[in-house]
Order: sequence, then structure tokens, then C-alpha cells
Amino acid sequence: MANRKMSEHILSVPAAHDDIDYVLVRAIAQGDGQALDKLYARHGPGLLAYLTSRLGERQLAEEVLQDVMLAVWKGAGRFRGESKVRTWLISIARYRAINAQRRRRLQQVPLDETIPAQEETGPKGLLERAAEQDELRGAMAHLPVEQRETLELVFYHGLSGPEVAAIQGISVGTVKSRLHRAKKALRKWLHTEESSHA
Amino acid sequence: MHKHWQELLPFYVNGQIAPEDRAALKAHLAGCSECQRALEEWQRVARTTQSAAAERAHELPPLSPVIRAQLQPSPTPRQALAAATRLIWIQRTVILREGFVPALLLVLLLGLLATAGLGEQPPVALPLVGLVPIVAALAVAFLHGPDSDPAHEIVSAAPTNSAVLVFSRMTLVLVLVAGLSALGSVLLSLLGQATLGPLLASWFGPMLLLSALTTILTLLWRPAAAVSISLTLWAGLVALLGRELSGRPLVQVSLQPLLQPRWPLVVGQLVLAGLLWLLGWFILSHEIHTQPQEISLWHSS
Repeated sequence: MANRKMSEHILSVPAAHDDIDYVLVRAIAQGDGQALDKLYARHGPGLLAYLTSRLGERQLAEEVLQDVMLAVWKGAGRFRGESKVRTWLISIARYRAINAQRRRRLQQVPLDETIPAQEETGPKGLLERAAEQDELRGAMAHLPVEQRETLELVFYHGLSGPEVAAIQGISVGTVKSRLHRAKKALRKWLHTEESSHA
Repeated sequence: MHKHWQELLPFYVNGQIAPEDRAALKAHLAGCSECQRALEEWQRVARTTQSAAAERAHELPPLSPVIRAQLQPSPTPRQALAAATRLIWIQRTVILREGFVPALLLVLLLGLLATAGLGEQPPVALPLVGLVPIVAALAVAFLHGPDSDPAHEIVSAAPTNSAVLVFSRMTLVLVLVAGLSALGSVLLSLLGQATLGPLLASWFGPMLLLSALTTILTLLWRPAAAVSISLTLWAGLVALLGRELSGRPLVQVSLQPLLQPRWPLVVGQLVLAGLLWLLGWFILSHEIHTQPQEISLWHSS
């Protein structure tokens, strides 16, 4: 118990301030447009993935991403370096995405995951595994948005528990239970491998 | 309980686990097959999440032109001044192209000759007061006419506000007119025909006033109309002045102070001119913003 508390405390200490992202944000706060370009190149893809997942629609995600970069430009001076730059960017993106959804009154539909066509060549094991992967991916697309978002924040953006909690506006405990529920929902597709091991 | 270990697994997979927790978990995994299995499942989830997200991250569009336009930081006063000076200086090619300078020189030369030739009988300032404002007003009117095509090519090439461009051109023209007139005034004063200060003051205010007025009329109407109005107004004023000087005034108010203005009058003229210029700027900015934008806002690839 004491271990866990300590780990959570250590994870909330800000990263080194000469990290390149911090340097870029400081430059942006001073009006450096090129720094914004560089930040966009570094984090744009990740943010685009996040927004597409949240909004379910690529076109809208691209538009919101532009809004996010404008918000970064205007708000860079307010960033105090208490969290990772990526965390800060995702928070902005999430806020903008929610607003965009509210404006559009979109229903939260599952992601349209077009599953790529299978290739006939290659060993059968590979093919089977690829098929399982696609099924798992399809199942993931049907998870509720909060669970899907949590998985992405943890495994694609590589954030810690407290960081995810800060972005989603929930407690660390809730983050953990969302992860747990997501895995439980995906059990059917995860267990196929287990049965083949047994 | 296993729950504690299992909760740590996702962060073990993504590397965000605390160092001491990592060591403890690693030790636990060595002896717990259930947690090992759970770890493999989490690793699968992680791989699938990553590949799905990575596909969504591809083909990042460029930052939109709208954002780029807003990326211009507000310059320091020194930078702004330097930029403004550069911009005004660049306009010289446009001015020179129009054949404006030779015409201007000719007119002012004629004015000087007339002044020198007339001697002291009418006040020295009269020709200058009569001519300089008109010349400036003419120049300014035809600078912002629909015939001034160079404006367009400069506008499309330079990322500058169109109102700024037009005004910078006007500034250059006025500087030119004022400069040449000042030179002429200096010559006249050197020839002993007048004192420099009052002579300069006599035409400077009216020059600014009349060109400001002409600018506004051009913006609201068109160059020819603006010029006609300004010309008529000023010619009328000069005629009244002439009559008064020759002893047959037409109006009750004396216009003579215009030829040798005192400080309050000069300041009043400058303030009024300034207000008119501001109004002109406002009209010009508004006019440009209501024109349809030709650039598309969203970059479509």
C-alpha cells in the first residue's frame, strides 16, 4: 500500500525542463512560429490519432487538430511545465473534441475500423495470428469511448496513471478500473490465444 | 492480493511504472503464472492499440493557412518601425513607374518660378499654398484608383494587410511632395523672399488636410469625383484669398491667416488631418475585408 502511494507521488514529479518539448513550448510562448511547426511535427500524428479515435471521424479530427494548434499558440505562455507537454496537448485536444462533438451533436459511434485484407502467403500461424489481431482490433473499436481512450492514452501515448487521470478528469482508481473493464470486455478475443497455449 | 499486481501490469507494459514497483513486480511475475498470462494479454492489447492508433496518425495535414496567418507575432515598436520604413521605401518603384515624379517636379518648378517672378506683391506663400495641397491630393487620389494595378500584384505577393500597403504608398507620395515643396521653400527663403518657418507651416497643414479629404472621397466614391471636389474646394479657397488680398473680399471671414498661420491654426490643421486619415484608414480596412477572399481557408490535398 505504501509502495503504491509512493509510486504515484514519484510519477507526478515533472520531467527535466531542458527536454526538447519544453524548449519548444517556451519558444512558442515567445512567439516563435517555427517552434510551433516543430511541435506540430512531433506531436501532430499522436494528436490526430487521439482525435480520430475520440470523434470517430477523420475530417472532423483534422479540423479540431488545427483548433488545438491555435490554442497552443495562444496559450503556450500559460503552460508551467508541471506535466509532460504531451499530456498538456492531449488535455487541450480532449477539451476541443468535446466541444466539437457538442456543437455537432454527434452520437458516440464505434470507430469504423476497416480491417485490411488478408494475404494468402506466409505460414499458417502468422495468418491465424493476424486474423486474431484483426478481430481484437474490431472488438476494441466497439469499446465505449472512455475505455478506448484510456487504452490509447496508456499504450499509445505512454502516459502514467496520474497523467491519464488528469486528462480524463477522474481519479487514478477510476483509470485502473476502466483498464480492468476494457480488458474484461476483450477477454473473448484475448482468450483464444490462452486456449491454444493450454 | 493479485489485484494489486494486476493493476500495475498495464504500466509495466508501457514503462510508466515506478522503479521500485517494477522490481517488485518482476520478482512476483517470476513465480506467478496467472499474472504472467495477464501480462501477455496486456501486451497483446498494447500492440493492437498501438497499431490501430498508428494507422490513424498517418498523413498529418499541414498547418492550415489560417493558423499560419495568425502566427505572426506582434512586433516590438522598433521592429514595427523598421518594417514600416522598409515597406514605404519599397513603394518607390510603384511611384516611379507612374511617371509621377517628373510631373510633380514640373509643377513645383512652375510654382517656384511664379513665386519668384511675382516678387513681393502677393504674399510669397500664395502659390505654394495653392499648389502643394492640390498636387498632393491629385497624387493620392490616383494612387488608390481602380486603375492602380500595381497594388494588386504587390498585395498578392506580400503577406501584408492591403490597407497598410495602400497607406504606405500614400505616405511615400506625401513625403515626396512635402520634401520637394520644402526644398523649394528653402530656396525661396535663401533668396530672401520669405522666412522659412512660416512658409513651411503655410502649406504643410493644408497639404495633409486636402489629401486626407481626397483619400476619403476616393474611398467612398471614385478618384475623378474626389479630385473634382477637392480641386473646386481649394481653388475656391485660393480665389477668395486672392480677392481678399487685392482688397475686394467676398466673405466676412478673413482668410489671410492661412498664409502665415500661427501655432494654434497649424496644430488645428494637423489634428483635423490626422482624424481624417484615421477615418480613411478605417474605411479602407473595412473595404478590403468585405471583398471576397480568393484564397481557400482549408488546405485540401
